[in-house]
Amino acid sequence: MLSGYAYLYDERLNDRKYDREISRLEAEISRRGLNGRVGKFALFRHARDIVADLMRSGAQTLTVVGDDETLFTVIGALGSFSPTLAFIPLLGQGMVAKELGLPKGLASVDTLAARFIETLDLGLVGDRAFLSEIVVDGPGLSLHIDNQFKLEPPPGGSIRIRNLGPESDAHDGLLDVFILPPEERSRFGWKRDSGNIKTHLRFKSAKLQRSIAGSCTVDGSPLEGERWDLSLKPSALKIITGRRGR
Amino acid sequence: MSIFGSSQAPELKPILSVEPKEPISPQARPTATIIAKGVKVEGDFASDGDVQIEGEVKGSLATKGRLTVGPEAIIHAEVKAGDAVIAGTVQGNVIVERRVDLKSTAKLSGDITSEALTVEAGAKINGKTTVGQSVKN
Repeated sequence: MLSGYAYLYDERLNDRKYDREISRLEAEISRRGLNGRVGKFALFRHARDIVADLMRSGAQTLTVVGDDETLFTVIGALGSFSPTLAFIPLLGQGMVAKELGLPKGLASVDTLAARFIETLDLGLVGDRAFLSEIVVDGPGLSLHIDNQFKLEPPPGGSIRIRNLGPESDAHDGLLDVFILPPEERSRFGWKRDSGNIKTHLRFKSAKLQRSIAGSCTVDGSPLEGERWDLSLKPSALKIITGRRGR
Repeated sequence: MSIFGSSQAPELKPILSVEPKEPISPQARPTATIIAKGVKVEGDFASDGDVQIEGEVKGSLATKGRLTVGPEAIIHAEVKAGDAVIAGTVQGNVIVERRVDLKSTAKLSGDITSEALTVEAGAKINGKTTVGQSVKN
């Protein structure tokens, strides 16, 4: 099919409990003339291959059907392809759906049809793109920013490098770093808000290091290593959102 | 000039105050950079916006905006800022374009150069102060 649209479904939507909702979604897409080729994530197929297949079929708008995790997987698998992305959060309205103003489920077909396109920055860890954030904790962490200075969190603290999310703007050409203090717990084991202010600053490039090998979490997926180069690709992602005029 | 204030002051009124010729303009500033307690910074730290330090800084520290040094902050650095409010420990020279406010808990070992200066009772300064001169960072 030579339609400009393609759809990529999360593997979890294979569960029969979603059959009815998917039928309604596909009927609505068809009714609006937005039909396109459908791909599905599968256990033994690499995400990069599935995305590449859809893109080579001529897709210009790649619609991700699932949740934030599905969208993150697709963004990490885009490689050199740069389609306009759309997102139907059929599996739940997570942080990204909220940030982009997308309603849960079928209602987001309206936004797909309206085609308000925003251009967002993408973070890079090495050559892997991320939309939301990198999280790392453990001993011996340091962040070397713009080859100018080094930041070290307190013992037990964690580092979050964020592109899109609370207190971060994915349009500003900068990544935000937040250093969170160690969690405080009451004697009953409940998490307690320490009330401490958290470290926050912005940068364009940095090196994240840990003194012992381990992993960091990139858009929810672990990435092994002990040193990661971080940078930003400004205005790298075209995505259909639920808000007009940004 | 060297000033060693008393440890207990009933009122925290400025004991030395040289007001700037022009009021500090409430210009729009980028979002503040914050270095929280327990966090260490080493190197040449520069910012265009406001900077709040509650942790530790070694090296140099420069901002065109307002620098706020919290009571538990420790700075071993040459400091340049648009304005500065210092309540913590600074070891190094401080050059400020407009106004420096030293709070009662401030401990400064280094020279201060600024257009205006206020010092609360209890603040400790060990260095030369040059006030009233136009400073460009």
